[in-house]
Amino acid sequence: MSARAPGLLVERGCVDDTVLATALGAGGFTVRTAATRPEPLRRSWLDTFDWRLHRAGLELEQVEMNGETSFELRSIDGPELSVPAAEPIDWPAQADALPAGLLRDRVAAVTGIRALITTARFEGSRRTVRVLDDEDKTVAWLHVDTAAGEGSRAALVTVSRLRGYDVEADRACTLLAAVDGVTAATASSYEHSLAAAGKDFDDIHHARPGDAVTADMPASAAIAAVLRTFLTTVEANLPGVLADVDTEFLHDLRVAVRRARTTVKLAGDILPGASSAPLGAPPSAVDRLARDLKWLGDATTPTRDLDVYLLGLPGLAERLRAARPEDLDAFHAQLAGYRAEAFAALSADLRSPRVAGVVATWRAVSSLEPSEASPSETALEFGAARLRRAHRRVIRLGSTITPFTPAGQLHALRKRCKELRYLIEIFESIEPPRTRKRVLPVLKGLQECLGEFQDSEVQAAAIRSFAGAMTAGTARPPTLLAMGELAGQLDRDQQRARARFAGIFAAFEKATRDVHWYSKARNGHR
Amino acid sequence: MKVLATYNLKGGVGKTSAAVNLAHLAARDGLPTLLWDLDPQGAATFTFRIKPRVKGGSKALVRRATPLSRAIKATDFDRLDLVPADLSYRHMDLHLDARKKPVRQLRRLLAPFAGEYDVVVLDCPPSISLVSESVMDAADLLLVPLIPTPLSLRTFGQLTDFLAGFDGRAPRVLGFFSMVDRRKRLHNEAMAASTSLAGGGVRIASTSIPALSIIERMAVLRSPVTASAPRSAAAHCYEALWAEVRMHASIREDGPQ
Repeated sequence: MSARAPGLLVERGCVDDTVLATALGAGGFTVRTAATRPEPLRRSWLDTFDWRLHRAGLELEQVEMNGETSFELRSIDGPELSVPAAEPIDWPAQADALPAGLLRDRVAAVTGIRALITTARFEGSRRTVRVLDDEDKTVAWLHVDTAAGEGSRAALVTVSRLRGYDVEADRACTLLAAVDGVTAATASSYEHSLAAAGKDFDDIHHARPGDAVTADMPASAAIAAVLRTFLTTVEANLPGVLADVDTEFLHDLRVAVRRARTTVKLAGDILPGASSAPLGAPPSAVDRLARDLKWLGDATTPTRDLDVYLLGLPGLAERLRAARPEDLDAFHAQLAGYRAEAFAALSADLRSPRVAGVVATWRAVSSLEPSEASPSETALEFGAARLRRAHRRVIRLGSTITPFTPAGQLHALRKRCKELRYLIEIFESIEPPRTRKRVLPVLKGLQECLGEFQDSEVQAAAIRSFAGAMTAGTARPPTLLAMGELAGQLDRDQQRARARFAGIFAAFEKATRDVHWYSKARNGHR
Repeated sequence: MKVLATYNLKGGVGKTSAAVNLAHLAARDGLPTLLWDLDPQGAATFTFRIKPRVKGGSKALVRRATPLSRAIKATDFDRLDLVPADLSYRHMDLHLDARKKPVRQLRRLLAPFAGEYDVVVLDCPPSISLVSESVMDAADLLLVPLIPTPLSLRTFGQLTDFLAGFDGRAPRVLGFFSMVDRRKRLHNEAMAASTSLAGGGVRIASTSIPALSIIERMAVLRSPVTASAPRSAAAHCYEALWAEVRMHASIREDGPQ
């Protein structure tokens, strides 16, 4: 495979062909311009919203030059892939919009269900110059890219390597870097274009809530900082939700809303002005935020539920034994129709003035800085107390559950487990690592069991409800039979989860029996 | 990955011309292609303007002291790479013989590239040797250029007899007439008589490559004729030959099957 991975970049400078020929001639090279005039060039770099390709060491680019389109995939340690395409693709789109082949397979394996979006762009022209050895063999390519509007001054010169000619490419780089007015760049074309758009690779919207919390900071400031983190996540994901780019924007937004709700519920009382207002008085800002978060969570639930059903349907279809997967096609179409309706309602809600009001309240509640906060209780002391309380609630409720306890109690226990988990995440930066190592595995196991128990019940009930709603025209017997088979399997899944519960809870109880949450807090220091 | 090999015991019959042009056409059609110039003369290497040098030579390649991947050079054509010739290939027989299962060695050297290249073309030296046997074991399709003369056809018959008793994975064989001069009655008679050569895994292509000076001028222009003169009669002939090769080797637009 011919490799044309970018080599050394040279920044702004005057690099006409005479200069290039003189510089490279000193190394025994000659140069030849590949085309008579510069060719129009548009480069679009692609990645998911959460930079999955970049984190996997990959760089994907759509190149449009002289009426032709190609996709180029580069990796740090592998050969470059380049495939032609019939025409440019309008992004965002899923990876399966790429031309079929090895490049698409590599990208899709990393991006999963996330769509590719354009992260950076370059528009201008390119002059391509061949660097030749004494056999007139091309040993490197120079791409002289000039951004639109910059006249004849070169913006970037990229030395592009050919397989087997690394030594020659390196020598060409060295010779070029010695030219007056030319400097070696420290950033790739991609980073250069990102910087031009005011972005960089650190701009990743998955800040962990616990990052902002330190042991000695006032507890109220810690909680405010955590709420700010969740607000940042919501604001970052909102445009992607409204544009319906992929399902994960809504999922991440809902997770942030849910965690913010839990934070307000479990720890909002520490915030200024959080005391309960007298009867008849206007609700406090914290109470308003709690109400707003509930509204926001409820507004997003129908669409997310349908996303989960649609994403999970292929996996469920594979489990069918009596019916065939294609018998569920009508069910899939029904779900897709419901999803379209739910999203239209969600979109209207999210574009309403109420959302601006929610954000304003949220920002106000979470604007407390450590210097402004009351020092009465530190994050360490506060966190320890709340974690002990949350842990006790899990143990107390879980210990009452028997094989005959109604399902609702297990669903309530699931909520208590989530609350404990969220508190652990909020205070993770100040928890003893041994505590996390001890608690998290058994807590995750318990949550998975309770999650399977509840999700199976909810999905089975939903399938029965959907089946009932299907009109006579779409309710073909094979579809209904397949849906019935699915509901039966989900019922069995729920029963299996119920059977596993006692053992899993016992393991959790035993492993966390004598956990000391921040035991050094009792000594007043960490 | 499909491995094609141009082979004939006789020299100067058009092996390299075929290897160079077919490799170029494969790459042009979007198939990542590797051409390995196994002939110490290095004519294919010269055509692509690449220096005939492999670090450590044949011995290092066969012993894996130099990974084959390090020897690969990109040509000036997209998706077409080349393993250059090296003068040390004249001793490749000895180096192969020093290994266990010498006949299998080329196939084993090429196996790791199955995910990277759709087509490999081996341009073989004119000899009958361990290198030739190793090529035959590695190849899916042996392309045999034949000058249409009785002696050439006799040699072809000897080759197919040899392959019938080959102690290795015998390839399919596609002979094709090369350097054809239709003004010569001898050539026309030999081509007419060639139908008896086909049978079993042996076929004779319906395409023939005429003796054209533009093909000889490849050594001057140092470029496949299918690139330097794509509308020429010679290029059209190689295109037709490539179409037959694709059919016989089961190479579809989306890659080998």
